[in-house]
Amino acid sequence: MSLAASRRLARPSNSSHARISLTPLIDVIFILLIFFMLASRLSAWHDIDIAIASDSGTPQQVTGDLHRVSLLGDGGMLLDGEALNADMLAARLASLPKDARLIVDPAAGVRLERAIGVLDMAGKAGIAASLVADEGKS
Amino acid sequence: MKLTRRRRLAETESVVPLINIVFLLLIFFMVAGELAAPTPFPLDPPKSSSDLASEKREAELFVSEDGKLSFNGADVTEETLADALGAIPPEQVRVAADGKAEARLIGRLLAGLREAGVKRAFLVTVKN
Repeated sequence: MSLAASRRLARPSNSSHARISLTPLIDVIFILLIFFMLASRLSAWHDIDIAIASDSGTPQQVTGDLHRVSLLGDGGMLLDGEALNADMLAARLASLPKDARLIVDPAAGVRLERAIGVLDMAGKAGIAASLVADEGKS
Repeated sequence: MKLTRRRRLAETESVVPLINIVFLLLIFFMVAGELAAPTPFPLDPPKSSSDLASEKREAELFVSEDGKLSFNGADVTEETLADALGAIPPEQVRVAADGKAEARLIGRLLAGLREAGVKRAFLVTVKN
């Protein structure tokens, strides 16, 4: 090693202002930041348990009452054929016995978020609900 | 000599607030986000008040806004889903569908899963 080079190397440690270069640290932090921005999902997923078991019997053999919520394409909804709004439906579902069963039957063109809204109401009311697509009905 | 040193010091210090911000952003994304496997297409699940944290099940079915299906990473259609499920169907399937997907399609898919022998399905939602 030449004298000049060794002096250059030695100088920082002798200096009272010796500091580690921040640039590599910033590089690593930036790469970590970009990794976490791309790889992480900010909204946590939650599951709704849909009872689809075929060995628990067809709906006709279930002991509790079977109710049908029809979601209409124009935004309306029917509980067993009776037109209701969302608040009334939530109240009616809450007043149903706990062994009741609910079938959510969306019309063509109804988006999943509306059906999930009704399944969510049923979940809050403690009623088992399933989502069907009966051909020829609704 | 004195002048040069002062300028070098100032250059270093001007970077420190930047590092601070980047560091805060890094910590925010580490804490607020959860590491997730990528979905085959952009997915915006519907909202619900479910408290059941989503977890990976034996099989996973994705449904996009325009009705495209992906089962365990492979593109399928409504007709080929039963073949993709195989002779020994999984007991539990997680169905991650876009909130804008057609509800009747999900209903048909759930019926298809039931006919194939799947016992339980879990619909993915986000907390509202």
